[in-house]
Amino acid sequence: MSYNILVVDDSKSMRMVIRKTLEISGFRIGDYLEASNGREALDLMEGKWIDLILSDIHMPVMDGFEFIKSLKGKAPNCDIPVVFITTEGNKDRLQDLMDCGASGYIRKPFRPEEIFALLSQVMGEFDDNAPMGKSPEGCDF
Amino acid sequence: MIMHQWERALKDVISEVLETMFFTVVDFEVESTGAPFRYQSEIVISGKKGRIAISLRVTGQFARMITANLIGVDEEGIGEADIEDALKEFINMIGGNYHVPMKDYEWSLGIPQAWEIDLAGQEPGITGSTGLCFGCFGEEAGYVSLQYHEMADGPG
Repeated sequence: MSYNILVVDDSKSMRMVIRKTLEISGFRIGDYLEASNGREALDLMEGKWIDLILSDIHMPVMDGFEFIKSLKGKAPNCDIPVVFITTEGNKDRLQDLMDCGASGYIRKPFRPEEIFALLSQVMGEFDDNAPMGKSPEGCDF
Repeated sequence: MIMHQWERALKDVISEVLETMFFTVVDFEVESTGAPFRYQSEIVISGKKGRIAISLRVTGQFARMITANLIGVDEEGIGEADIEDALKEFINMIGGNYHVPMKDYEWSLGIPQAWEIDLAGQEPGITGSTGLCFGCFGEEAGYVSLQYHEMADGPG
């Protein structure tokens, strides 16, 4: 099974690094979508089926906090796991993200094995038999 | 933090970030020779008590090398935008990890900036006066400085 992934980061370099890290990790990527901030990500998601979102926190236009609040606030995308990849080191702020519904976070700098370990946990250890959840009605995928 | 603490913390952070994400090892024993730094990046950590500006200057050769290492392409394949983007990430990670020991919730990380230095306007001998110099393969590669501005009063 492959996963449709959305990476949200204002840095083109980091988006490339994340993609390569996922590939190195053996993560099977289906559609790979990129957005440079939360607003762009929300627009991009309309009508698309996304299995996992990897997002930065500090971004212009719409940051990670606003993004997850918007995402988790309404169907059909509120069940999509969101993992933050961030330089944020303040534990209180990271806890705030978890309270907003984040599935986890990885701090930069990171090693590929850290990404793999967390995503394995979040996505059910890449089990081919794991349930995918329900697809939103009307989605074209 | 007293002087030696910030210096130690900064060295540790720079080494960890460069080794983990940029596959580069630097040393801090290199002597400053006033290398012509080509790029500068900066990030500000702000709080109620004041603000800390971390500024990084690197040579063109070093910038190109770490950019290529980060995104996994040959040096010939990268452009100026890639370099500035990579340097923003570098200073962002330095700021974020330097920020970790600060327990105060009110300290927050700003948006990183990076730009090409106007070489014609660069003052000779400006490097090495304060802050930390670091080298790569025995040559001076960069210089990082830290400025603390204490707030007299009012919000940070």
